[in-house]
Amino acid sequence: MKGKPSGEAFDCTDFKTKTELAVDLLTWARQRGFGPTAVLFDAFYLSGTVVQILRKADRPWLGRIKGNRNLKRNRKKFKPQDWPRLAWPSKVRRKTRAPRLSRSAAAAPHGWGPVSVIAVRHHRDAELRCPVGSNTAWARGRIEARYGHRLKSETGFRRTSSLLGLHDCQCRSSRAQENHVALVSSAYQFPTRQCHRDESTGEVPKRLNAHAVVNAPAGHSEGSSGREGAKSETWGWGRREDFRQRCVTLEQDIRYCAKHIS
Amino acid sequence: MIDDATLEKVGEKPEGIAWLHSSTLGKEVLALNPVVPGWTDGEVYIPVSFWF
Repeated sequence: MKGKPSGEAFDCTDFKTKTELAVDLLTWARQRGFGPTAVLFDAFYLSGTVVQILRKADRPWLGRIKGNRNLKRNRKKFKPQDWPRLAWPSKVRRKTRAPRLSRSAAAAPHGWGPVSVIAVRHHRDAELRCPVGSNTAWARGRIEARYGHRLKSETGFRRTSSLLGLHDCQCRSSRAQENHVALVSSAYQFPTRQCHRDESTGEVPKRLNAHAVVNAPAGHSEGSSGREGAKSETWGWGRREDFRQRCVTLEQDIRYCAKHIS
Repeated sequence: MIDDATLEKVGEKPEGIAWLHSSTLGKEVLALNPVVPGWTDGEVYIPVSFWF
């Protein structure tokens, strides 16, 4: 980040780092009765503060450990970035040998409690990635599968940008920006709920548009108008009755989501 | 699930804007950076709230 951060945020409240915001959000979610199966976050948020909050709330968590952290296992210390070298049995003494890469390793980083660590290297990754889970009973496959859900949030941000224009607000005030993000987040529930099992969220508007064009009344078609020379009228969401019906469906979808979240 | 988004903006006038490193572009950009908690069941992702 360029420049020195000021002591106050733009809305004259105390400046908070991303980790402090994450802690506040976890406290907020706990106060409102959210009961997730596990809390998942990136390597940036894997800090002692966040882990202590989750341990106090008795919530299991998953994250990714950075390569330079010290892991302790059976009085042996090793770093995840040294894992491939130390796991090579023929070149390393038995005392300093790390657990095999193909299995999960139980470790106890300072202040985190017992955790289960695995090492994953995909074809495109230059370095080893080490997802970590708070439950030592979790096997490699379970940690890998659950940590893979993190891509859902990245996909969600990308879809909200491409479909709904998350980046497109040009207002300067923070309140307008917050309202824009809130509206986009609410509107994102519609394609999320409407998408079929075998299609992505981005394909939903295309399918609904095609459906609307097929069911359009006579005289209306995509890009055509009844008047000669007038600006072409697009036929995106079908008849007004269809639009009303879709609004009712959207309201039901939002209620369904709210019910399942709580 | 807790994650943050980088909302890239043009110009320094919007409130709360800062220079952030974008891992997608591999460089520093002027952007807003909301922290977003979300809920997922493995198939759908629902952003629950956001804080700037």
